[in-house]
Amino acid sequence: MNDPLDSLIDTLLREKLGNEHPPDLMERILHEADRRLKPRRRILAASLASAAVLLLAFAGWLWLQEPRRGSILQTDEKPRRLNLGGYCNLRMEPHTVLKLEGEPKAEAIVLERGGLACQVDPGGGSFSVKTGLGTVSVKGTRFTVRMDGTGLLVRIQEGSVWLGTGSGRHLLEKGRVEEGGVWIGKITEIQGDVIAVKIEGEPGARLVTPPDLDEMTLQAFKTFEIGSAVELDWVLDGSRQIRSIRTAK
Amino acid sequence: MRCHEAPERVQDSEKILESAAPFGGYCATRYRAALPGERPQVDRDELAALVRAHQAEIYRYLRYLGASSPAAAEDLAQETFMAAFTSTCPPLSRDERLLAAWLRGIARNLFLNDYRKRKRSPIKINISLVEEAEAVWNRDFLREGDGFETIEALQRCLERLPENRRGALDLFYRQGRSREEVAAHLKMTEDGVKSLLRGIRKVLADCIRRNLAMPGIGAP
Repeated sequence: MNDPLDSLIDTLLREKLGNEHPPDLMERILHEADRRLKPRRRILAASLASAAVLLLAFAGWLWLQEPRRGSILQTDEKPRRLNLGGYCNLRMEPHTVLKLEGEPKAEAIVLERGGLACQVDPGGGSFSVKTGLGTVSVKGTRFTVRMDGTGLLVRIQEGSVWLGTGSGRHLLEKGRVEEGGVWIGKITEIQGDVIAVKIEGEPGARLVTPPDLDEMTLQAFKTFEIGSAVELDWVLDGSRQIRSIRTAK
Repeated sequence: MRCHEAPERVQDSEKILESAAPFGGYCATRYRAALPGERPQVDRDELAALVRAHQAEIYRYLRYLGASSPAAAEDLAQETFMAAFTSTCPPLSRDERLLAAWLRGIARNLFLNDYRKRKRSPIKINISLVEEAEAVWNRDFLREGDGFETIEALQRCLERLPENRRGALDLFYRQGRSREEVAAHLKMTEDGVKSLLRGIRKVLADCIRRNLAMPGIGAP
């Protein structure tokens, strides 16, 4: 450009005579604007995708932290809280060992050792605590189970539970404290209706008489011989009372 | 460079842009910087409105500055509106004349940047003339309007142009003949044609001035 005025008239003549009219650039410009906006949308989409991935990763991490069926849980000096199936709230006492079993709506654990406070929300499903000495089955209640050595303690705070033992199944109501266990021993003497059993780990022999026993046990009573290995179910009723006797498994 | 910051080293084109920016401000008072994370202030609808109102002038202005071809002017015009679209400091005012001046500033800057990239271009730019070009554009084309009156005045002046001069313009502009072809047709030298065309344009420029100063008068 040497002379702006000359250039101006030249431009106008090209337009006027040369048919070089300013083009309509609207569509082209808006298309380009949309194209340039897309990266922003892509960034937004990528951010959302990243957030979703992080969320999934976090959910996965939570899932991994969640105890799963078959796993064995153990507490040391500190208690631990658990929730099973969304309706079983458990508090493991220190030095407790348990195994998770059951299935959805029918949660179950096997208590190997220690104590457990349970609160089961009504309507969620069934819940049972299996021990070597019996199984506590509940639907909507609050109770405590403790197992120590050969003894089992069940304390009912709310509702009721079924306690199944080798001698049968009976209902424990609110406020009831059931403490019982199993002794393992050998018959050392039989004299009429009296059987002397040497309990493992206890000095002397414990005498068992028919009035102490239930009907089923009475039937089996006659089959016992000296030297037979037997299991004795006992409950705490002031002192440990023998409720049943059976051949050891 | 943020809108409110003064350039550390002002290059020629930036000087021009600064001096020709609307009301003399380089994002100083009538512009404001977008806050961090703030979206550009020209949205898609405003962009469409800007294009509708100013695309003809910006295209014409780029051709006037010396864009080498219609396609080059179209590309630069598009980039001008894209720069406006992504600008973080458009004018706060919605005055059309201010917006036009702002867009011309962007277009001028883009034109000069484009020119710098093409150092081997046969087109030679005298930077001081570009500065003057803005003044001529305002004074002789826009005339405080949109330039439409100037175009109408040109039409009137063309109609009154003597036949022989009109013929030379037709050959060169309407028929798109080269200077060499026009020279052959008019039995002149190329330099002669160049001078002839320049002379006709000068006559037309004077005619337009007179015509607009006193409508009805001003035959070439």
